Amino acid sequence: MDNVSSVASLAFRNLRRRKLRTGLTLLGIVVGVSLMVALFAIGEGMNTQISQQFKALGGADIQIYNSTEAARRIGFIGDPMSEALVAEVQAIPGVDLATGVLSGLGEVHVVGVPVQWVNKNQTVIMGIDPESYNRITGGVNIIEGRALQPSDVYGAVIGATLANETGVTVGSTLYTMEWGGAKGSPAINFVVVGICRTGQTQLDRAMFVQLSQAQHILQWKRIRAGTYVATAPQITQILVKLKDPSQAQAVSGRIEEKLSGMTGIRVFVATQMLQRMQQGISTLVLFLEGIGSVAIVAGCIGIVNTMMMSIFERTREIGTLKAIGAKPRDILITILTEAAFLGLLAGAIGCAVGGVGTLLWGELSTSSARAGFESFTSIKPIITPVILLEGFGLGVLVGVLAGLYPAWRASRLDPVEALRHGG
Amino acid sequence: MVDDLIVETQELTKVYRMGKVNIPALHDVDLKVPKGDMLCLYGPSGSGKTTLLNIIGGLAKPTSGNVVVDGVDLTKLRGNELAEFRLRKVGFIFQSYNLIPILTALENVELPMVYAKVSKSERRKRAVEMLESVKMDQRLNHKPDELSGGEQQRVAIARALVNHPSIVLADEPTAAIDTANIHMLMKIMQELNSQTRQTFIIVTHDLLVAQACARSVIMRDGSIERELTGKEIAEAIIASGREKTY
Repeated sequence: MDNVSSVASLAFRNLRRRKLRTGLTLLGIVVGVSLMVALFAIGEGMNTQISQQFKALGGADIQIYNSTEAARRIGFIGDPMSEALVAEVQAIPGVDLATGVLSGLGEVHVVGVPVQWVNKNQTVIMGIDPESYNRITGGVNIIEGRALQPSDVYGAVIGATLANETGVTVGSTLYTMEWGGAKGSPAINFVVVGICRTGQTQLDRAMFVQLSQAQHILQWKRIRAGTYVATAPQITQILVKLKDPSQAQAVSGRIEEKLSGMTGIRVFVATQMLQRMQQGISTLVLFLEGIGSVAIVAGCIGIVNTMMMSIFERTREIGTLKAIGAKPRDILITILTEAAFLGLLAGAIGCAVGGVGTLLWGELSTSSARAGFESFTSIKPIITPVILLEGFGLGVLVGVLAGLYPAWRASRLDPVEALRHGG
Repeated sequence: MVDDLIVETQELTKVYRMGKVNIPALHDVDLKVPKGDMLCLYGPSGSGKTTLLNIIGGLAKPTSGNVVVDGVDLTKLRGNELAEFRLRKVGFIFQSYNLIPILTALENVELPMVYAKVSKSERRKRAVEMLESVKMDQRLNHKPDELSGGEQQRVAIARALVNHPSIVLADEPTAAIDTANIHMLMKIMQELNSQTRQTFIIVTHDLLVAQACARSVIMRDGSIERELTGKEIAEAIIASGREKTY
């Protein structure tokens, strides 16, 4: 151990004697490592988002929407269609269970909060049939309270973001207006029974209520001023669970056939879509990592260059070390330690820069999502310990690899030649 | 008597190849150095002194001939074994001191013990003792660039002796040092030689150094010409006017 610390201290001081050069060399690898950390984090963020989206699709094997637009807004608000379609889909061979979901934007107020327009026209109201919805999707992830049950006629589960913003907890009362809050429409009170965190921006700002209640709130038409009536029960989405998920393609064909009379009906096989998206992302991440690798290689060449110069300048010192009894291996270890130190430092700084930069970017994209922009496409990068470790390891690896050749050269110097060098 | 020899060379020859030209550096050198000797290799530059020193110190290999140092046949050793030989048996002193600039005086003296895997506390103790014996104990934590040439060379001497080598090889140790300090350095080396019975071989073309050594041989054109007597050296010093400088 004594000797290890001596070698380490020697390496460290050797780096310090050329601060500027060491700094510039570091910069090269720092750029590479921080770039890689950022890319790993983006990749991780994309994958997480996709799997969350998949979770939000709720493990449903097939989803049915009305409107071609819906394809771009998977999992969310589409155009309405008749609730009667659920029973038709349920009757198709291969379908285990079908459930209708109605989602739309509505006002939600908090009782006892003087400023009433907490989330005017911003809150996603999700009408679900708790029993079949939970059976198909496995239910949303409850972090407080409990899931919505069929008996909760005036119960609601709200997303964690909405809860945080409004200060609502389990037991609080919220209300919304029937008939979309039009003049004279009565309020419906809901008691919060649970808070969920889905990890999906939209759902975490949503309120889950019984499908029939959502229909009251979201589905109405004006007959004349001050008089509104409910439309026939409608939904925006049908989630389908199959008896055998591997038959998704065949069953979706049957569904399409059955609903072929209706325009704008879209049938999605979730797993396939997910796979396609994941493939696309893998390709993108791979491409980005390729760019990052170029930076890493450039940094690597920088270290090789620095070490070669440093060894050239220290030729006589190396000769001296050999004369006083250093073995080739001792020289090799000394130079390699220097290179590893460079890599270590670069790895640490690169992780810090990449990590902080990525988090800042994540904050920005989240706040823009809060403002309502691009919330579907913005990616929140995710920094995990594994990513930091990978970035750090990459720095060290690059250092050691880049140090190998210079260290080998130094260890093979002829002592007599080296001692004669430069004097 | 043969057992008391620390260095014995037989028909030692070294030829450097520069492209297609062979440059002879040593030619059939037979040298016997008894243990505890303080021998001066005196001669003009290009006479092969340094080459001989490097071969005895295990830094270079002879083209032909034999060299045995402290019972070790150097012609039979390979890279790592030669390094081990230098570590355990040889202390080098150079013309330009060759201290490691980023290390303090103390750390420079500790360095050979790092390679010899001596424990840290033992290293520190021996390095301090060694620096005391070269009268550098007041400047333990100074870096080489904070020391004068003479002081640096004293640190280098401490570094050369700290692993208790059987032989100390000095290559023009005084060439970069002013006359007053030459005197002091030679005195230190004489003291160490008589106290430790370590053998010193000093390469020089300075007659003052030769005068300070117990024995001097003159080298010319890659061969040992003959031994110089004290009287010859003293006369040569007077003839050169060198003695008046101190």
